[in-house]
Amino acid sequence: MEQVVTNLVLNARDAMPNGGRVAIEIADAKIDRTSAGVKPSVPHGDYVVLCVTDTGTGMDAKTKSHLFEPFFTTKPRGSGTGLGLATIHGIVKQSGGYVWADSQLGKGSTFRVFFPRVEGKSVGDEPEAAPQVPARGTETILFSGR
Amino acid sequence: MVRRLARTVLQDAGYRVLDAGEGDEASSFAREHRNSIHLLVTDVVMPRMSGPELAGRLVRECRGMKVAPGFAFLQKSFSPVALAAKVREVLDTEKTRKIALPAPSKRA
Repeated sequence: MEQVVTNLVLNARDAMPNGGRVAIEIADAKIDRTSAGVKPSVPHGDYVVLCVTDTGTGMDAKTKSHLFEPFFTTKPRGSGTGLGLATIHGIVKQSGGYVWADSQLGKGSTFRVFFPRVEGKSVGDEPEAAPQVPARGTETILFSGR
Repeated sequence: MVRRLARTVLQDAGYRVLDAGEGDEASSFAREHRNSIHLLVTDVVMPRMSGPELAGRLVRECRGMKVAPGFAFLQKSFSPVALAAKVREVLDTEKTRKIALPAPSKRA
């Protein structure tokens, strides 16, 4: 989940070279016959949806149609791996979920990730794990790259 | 850039992070600081000199410097906690050479 959110937010940021706003929303959602903009292959039912919306450059239809393909990238050679969204697609699919994007050129994009809603106790209800904090150090690290 | 995020995470964790640029610029920068660098993190793919190539050069010049497998650090999917843990792990490992060096390396 962390990977999904990180990737979507990084993409959103990259889509806004001149700044803008990224919104992350989570909501319950029901998909049925009346749901607009939903691919017919998505089964009807209860879902939890994660939306990441940016106010960036948006995407044209061609970009949209290749979005989740491995190694597809709009970024300059050498700076994007083209694996971000393909990875997300894999993770979401493995969880039985669906992901798609709505976008308008010049207005921004919204990525929606749908996970089937599951009733019952979550693993997180068990004893709480200690919050993880980054390991520390005082050494000097040299970064090289662009 | 993701590198900026990585930099912030590591600085927050207490490290001193120096930005060396790339290629020859990075080599000469590293040479200047040769005795005070503990870890090198590079992009793997760089236009002027590849990460492994640069690492191979610097490892011979900078005593005690370790090399992090850069792609694992700088690819898009990383979490701050995982990044910091990995950096700590590499620093704590004796004689880590995880990157395949292009030229035969003399051990310092």
